[in-house]
Amino acid sequence: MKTVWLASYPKSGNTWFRFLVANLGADEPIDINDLAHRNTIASGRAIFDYFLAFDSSLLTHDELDLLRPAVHAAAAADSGPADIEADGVPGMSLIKTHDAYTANAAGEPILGGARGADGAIVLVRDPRDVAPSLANHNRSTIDEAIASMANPNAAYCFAQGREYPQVRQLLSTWSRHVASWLDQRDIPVHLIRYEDLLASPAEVFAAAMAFCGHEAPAEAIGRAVRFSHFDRLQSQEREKGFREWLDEDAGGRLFFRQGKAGAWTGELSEAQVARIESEHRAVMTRLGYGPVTPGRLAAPRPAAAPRRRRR
Amino acid sequence: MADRGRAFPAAHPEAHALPPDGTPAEEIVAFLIGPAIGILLHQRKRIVLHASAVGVGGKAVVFCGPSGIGKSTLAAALAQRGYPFLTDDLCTFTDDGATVPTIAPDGRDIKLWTQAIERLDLGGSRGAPVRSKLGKFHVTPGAAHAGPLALAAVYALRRAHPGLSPGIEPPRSIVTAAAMLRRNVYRPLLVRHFGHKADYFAAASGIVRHAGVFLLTVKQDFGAIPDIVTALERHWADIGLASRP
Repeated sequence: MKTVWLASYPKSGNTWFRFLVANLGADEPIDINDLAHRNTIASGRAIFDYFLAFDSSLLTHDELDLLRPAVHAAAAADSGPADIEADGVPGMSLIKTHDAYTANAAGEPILGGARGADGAIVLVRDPRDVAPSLANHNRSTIDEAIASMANPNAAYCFAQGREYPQVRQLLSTWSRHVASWLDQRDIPVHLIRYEDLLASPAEVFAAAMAFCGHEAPAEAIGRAVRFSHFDRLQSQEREKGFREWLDEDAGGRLFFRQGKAGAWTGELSEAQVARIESEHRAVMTRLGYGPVTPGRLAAPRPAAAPRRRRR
Repeated sequence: MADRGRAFPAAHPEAHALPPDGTPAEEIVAFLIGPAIGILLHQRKRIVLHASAVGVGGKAVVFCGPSGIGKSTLAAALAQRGYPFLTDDLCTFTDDGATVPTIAPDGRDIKLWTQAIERLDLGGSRGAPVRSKLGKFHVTPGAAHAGPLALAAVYALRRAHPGLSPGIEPPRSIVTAAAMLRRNVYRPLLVRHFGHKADYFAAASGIVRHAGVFLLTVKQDFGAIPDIVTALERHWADIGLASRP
């Protein structure tokens, strides 16, 4: 059984991709609330409690980070109890993660390196589109979302004194998150830009499945793409709600909000665009997300000239 | 791995714990009264569910479910209302296969997170920290029960979502009920390790035969607790269990 990470910064098309996979081989569109829901994220506690054979909440976040490589390696070698569901296709388990690719205090990759997975599909999206979507998701202002995307310590499930269904995940900044996955050399990466998936879904999805070693017939790919069309997902959500959008106080906000590329031009102020572009210019350029504001790559500040001692 | 500490089954009937050097005793206790006791119970072929339990009208009512679903919080909320507390986290069944299984209190406290202690206003009952840096504390529940109680009902907690409303319902069939119980065994990896799967099959069908098994769908919100308690009390009256402590 192959294990493949579906790695992305939040709001970059991860859930949509999971629907494409879930609809591969389906005869009719799957119910949005029937998407596998246990063990679908690398940080989910069920798999930790299972393989540690004790309550993972007895451990601090830092202690868990020391054990995570071993747990991910164990999970890759043995998918665990039968009732733990996973996304994927026969012979391949696709596990979503929002973790940046980082090492623990012992210097081991938290996700277990090559022992944790056979490869990673890395989904990226223009950070200018991520920001308004993240604000919707976090129920924050766009400025707060932009600040969070620039915070090297940004994390999920990090507080002490309460229980989370997931262990702590370091996101770091949008740039560092993306670069951490693209620059690691432990496992092969298949990079997908959200915008390309939107423009040529069948082609891009088929290539991703081929990367996973799953050659799906064009007809099945085409059907999965139709079944997972954004409008279908959104109309199902309008009709009955989406279980992964748990907050009762969503206040009419939808999880499947827009599903567009380039909507930022109507959502961000000039100052917001400039701020994102100055903070993430290098990685944006690397991914082909051309900045519109003039500016240079944020260069490290020149070292201050040694001060002369006054005599 | 020695520096990370571990507990593991040794030659029957012992379990060994190897804490990292210099670990203070109070940091080790949490692992001894949880994981190590779990290993010892499994070694002894005891039937253990990942569950909390309280007494209702002189019988035992058990709440099982995945980590973080609110088993301990619900037991604490019921203990606050006078239902005698039996057990938290691990719930050991005494079952001879013929008579109704019983649940005995195991003498341990409820372990609650700071957030739950504050939201349930249990600060006055807060005891020692489970571990120094965790934000989880031992809480002495309102009333602890002395004797073992016959099992009346098991509720499997699950999270409400847009497609699933809060409430109490029986599982689709007794087969589903038994499978639901087996999903909630305490540390399934240990059951697998000790080769006890068949014992759990037998125990699950025994529980289904002798007690009610129900699905309890809950909103994961402290504010929902009074509604959950009301729904439970109504249900206890419906199934002929006194709706009082």
